[in-house]
Amino acid sequence: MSTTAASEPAIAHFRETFDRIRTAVSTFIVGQQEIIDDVLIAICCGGHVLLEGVPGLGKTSLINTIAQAIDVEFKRIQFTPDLLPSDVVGTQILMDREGRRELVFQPGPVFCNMLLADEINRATPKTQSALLETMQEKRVTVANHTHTLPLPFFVMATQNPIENDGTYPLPEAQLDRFFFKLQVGLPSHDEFKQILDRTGGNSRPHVSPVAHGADILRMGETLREVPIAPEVQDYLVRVVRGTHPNENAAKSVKQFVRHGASPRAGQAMLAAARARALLDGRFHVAREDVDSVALPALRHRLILSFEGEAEGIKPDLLVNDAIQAAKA
Amino acid sequence: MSTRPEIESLVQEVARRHNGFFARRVAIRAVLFASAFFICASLFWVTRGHSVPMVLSFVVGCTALVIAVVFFRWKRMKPAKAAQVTDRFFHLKDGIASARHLAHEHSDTPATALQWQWLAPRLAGCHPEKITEAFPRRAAIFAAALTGIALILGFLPASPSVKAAEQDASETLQRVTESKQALEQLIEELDKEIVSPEEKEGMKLDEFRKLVKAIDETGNRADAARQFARIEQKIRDASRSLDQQRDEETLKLAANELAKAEDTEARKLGKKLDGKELKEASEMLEKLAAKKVDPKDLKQDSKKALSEAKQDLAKMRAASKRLAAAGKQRQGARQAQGGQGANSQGSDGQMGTGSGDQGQAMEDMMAEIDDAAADAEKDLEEMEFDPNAAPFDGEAMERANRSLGKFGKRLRGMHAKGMAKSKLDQLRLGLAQAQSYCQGQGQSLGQKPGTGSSWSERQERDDSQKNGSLTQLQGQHGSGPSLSAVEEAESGTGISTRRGEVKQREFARQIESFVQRDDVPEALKLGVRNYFENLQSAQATEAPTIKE
Repeated sequence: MSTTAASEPAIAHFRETFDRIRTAVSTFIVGQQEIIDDVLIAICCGGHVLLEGVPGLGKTSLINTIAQAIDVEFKRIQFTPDLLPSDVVGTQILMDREGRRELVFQPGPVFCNMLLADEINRATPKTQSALLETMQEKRVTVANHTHTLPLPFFVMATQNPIENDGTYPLPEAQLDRFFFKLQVGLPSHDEFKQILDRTGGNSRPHVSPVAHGADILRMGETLREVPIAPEVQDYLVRVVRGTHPNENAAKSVKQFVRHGASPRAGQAMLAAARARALLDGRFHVAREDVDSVALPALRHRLILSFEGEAEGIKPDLLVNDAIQAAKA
Repeated sequence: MSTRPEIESLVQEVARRHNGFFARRVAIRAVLFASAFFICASLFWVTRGHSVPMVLSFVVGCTALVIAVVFFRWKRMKPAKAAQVTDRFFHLKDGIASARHLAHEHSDTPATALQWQWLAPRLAGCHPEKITEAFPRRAAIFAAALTGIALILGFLPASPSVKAAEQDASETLQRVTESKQALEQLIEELDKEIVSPEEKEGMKLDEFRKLVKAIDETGNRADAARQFARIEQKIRDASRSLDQQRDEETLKLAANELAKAEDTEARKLGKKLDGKELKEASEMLEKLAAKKVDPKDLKQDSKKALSEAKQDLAKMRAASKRLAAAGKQRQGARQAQGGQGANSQGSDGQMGTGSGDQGQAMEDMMAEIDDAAADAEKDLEEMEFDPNAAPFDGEAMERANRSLGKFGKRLRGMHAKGMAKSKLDQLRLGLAQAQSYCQGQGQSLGQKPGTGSSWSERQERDDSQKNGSLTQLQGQHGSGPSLSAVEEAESGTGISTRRGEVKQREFARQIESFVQRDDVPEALKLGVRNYFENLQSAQATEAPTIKE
């Protein structure tokens, strides 16, 4: 059998690498298996992740740990209201070189493989928008010069949903560029105890790198070979289109949604579903895979209507309704 | 490369099982809906006492079968759907659908082999026999019950009254057809018997032929009776328009007068008129006409020719005198009845309103004949006494003959009208017979003896059908006397008119003034006052109830 992307060794590599990273991350992070899997799936698919959760749940620690587990260049930006776009993407500075002064591009922290944008909603929209080109095109344009970022490139952003003072909600265009939006929940009783045990002492678990950037790129190639049947693809499209308030949509969607998910959401779902299938040991995508990735891929892409905002409707409910409508 | 046979056989087996269950459901529902529809439709007939037509069950059954087959073929499980169902039932996570897709699109790729590696071991545990469906017992019981009811209703016989009505309708239809044919035949016979154009014009047979042809052959007695009555009415009108009673009365008077005549021929004419042999009478009048006299003949052979002319004229005169006398009698009688201007109106109440002699009154014609005959007689007398006195031109005699001819023509017309009228009456009689025949009153009187039936509950009573007569007396709305007020005796005062109330008040005043007198004892006054007060209070509380 050839060693193309769709080969047994490639699949084995995908699964083994994924498991290694997961195991390495789990040595420090207690529980949160689903979040870890979703973050890793997003990384494999070359997507960016927005982690949302109240302070102290280990969002930043999770990203730090993953960065340690994958041997890639990691940088962190603590977003604050006074952060400027040039602080993110870089700027030109006047340098004195051999008696001549010239403007030299000073790369910003985005020039890395994995960028942690901590508390991204604390920066102004202007600064947040600096990441638009970076996240989608994986390049930076400063002073008419475009600089390509190294691959793989991932942005792991965190935000706090309960603090509103001094925060700036991410614009829709920015949100749409995130592959997944993951909601980090409170750990269970036992997990809580384990967290205290691991972090309460003098010794802290050390996470060693178990994969490289090339592994991540290969994993991405492998999962793109996973076939999807037309029926399953139809189903996926129905789910995405079901988030739009059109005639065939669920009643709740019609009532509470102003705009549904974009085709980019469909691309994200397809890639993530393929990864899910591979993780499940299959080489084909099933409806179950689509269902399992629908929530993280769609929840941040729904723009609620005024009524939906006023009623405090959770986008997850609407996504579930869209899934049910697609199944009907 | 096509799909692997293991996959296809599994999918086909699953589809077969599902289609089997689906066919069972469709069959039960088809029976259920067909029975329900049949019951609803059959109630339309059953509630009216009719038996349900067999064609209904055939139509409902065939329609249900066709709809069920079409619905089954339309909704039966297709392979793509079967693959999806197989995936879902055996938890294959869209393995079948993906394998089918890969087999068609990427048959030789490593992806297909990898996918089959995952699917193959799982297919071994897939047994279509595990797919079961509970028998729709409730629907089946319901369908069976409805089918039973439908069968009972389908074989329910018609009620005796309905059977009788149906038989009656068919008999009526047959009778109407026979009557129509008989009437057409009668019209043709009458048409053949017509000899004169006057008769043909008066009878209007073409119109009646069309009317008879237009009779709708119906089983409804009322409709049939209505149609025949309409034609009969038209015939009656036509017959009435041919009525010549006035002229016949005049002719009767003339016959009586002619009977008194000394002349034999005049008496014969009278007999003919009396016997209404108008055609013969007309011929006799032609014979009475005096021969044309040439003045030269009178001069050459005066005596012989003159005596012949006088004899002819005397015969004519004998008849014309009587006719004129009858005409005068008739005129006198008319004037006595206040018939002012009757002379100018001609024969009123008759059809004779045409131009010429048809519009002239018969008594005037009679007087004209007599006047002309008298003038001719006078001319002959003058000729006899003084042949050279004045030239004899025969104009008066010519006029007398012309009047006589006119009268004869009138008699022939009367004869033709009479013939037409008698034929119309004959036709009317035929129609009346046809009408009564259609009503079942032909040969026998009454219908067969009545039969008791418990089915009478299922149909409203129709006495007009029971006694065989559809003719019912109906009053005209608002034409009869109506009771505008009803006074109840218990609640009323016993006085029903205003005059009575006035009388009562007057009587009360008289009595009160009477009791005001000093000589009346106080106790009596008090008694009278109490009586009327009580009476008034009773009237006030018990107001009379008037029902409008």
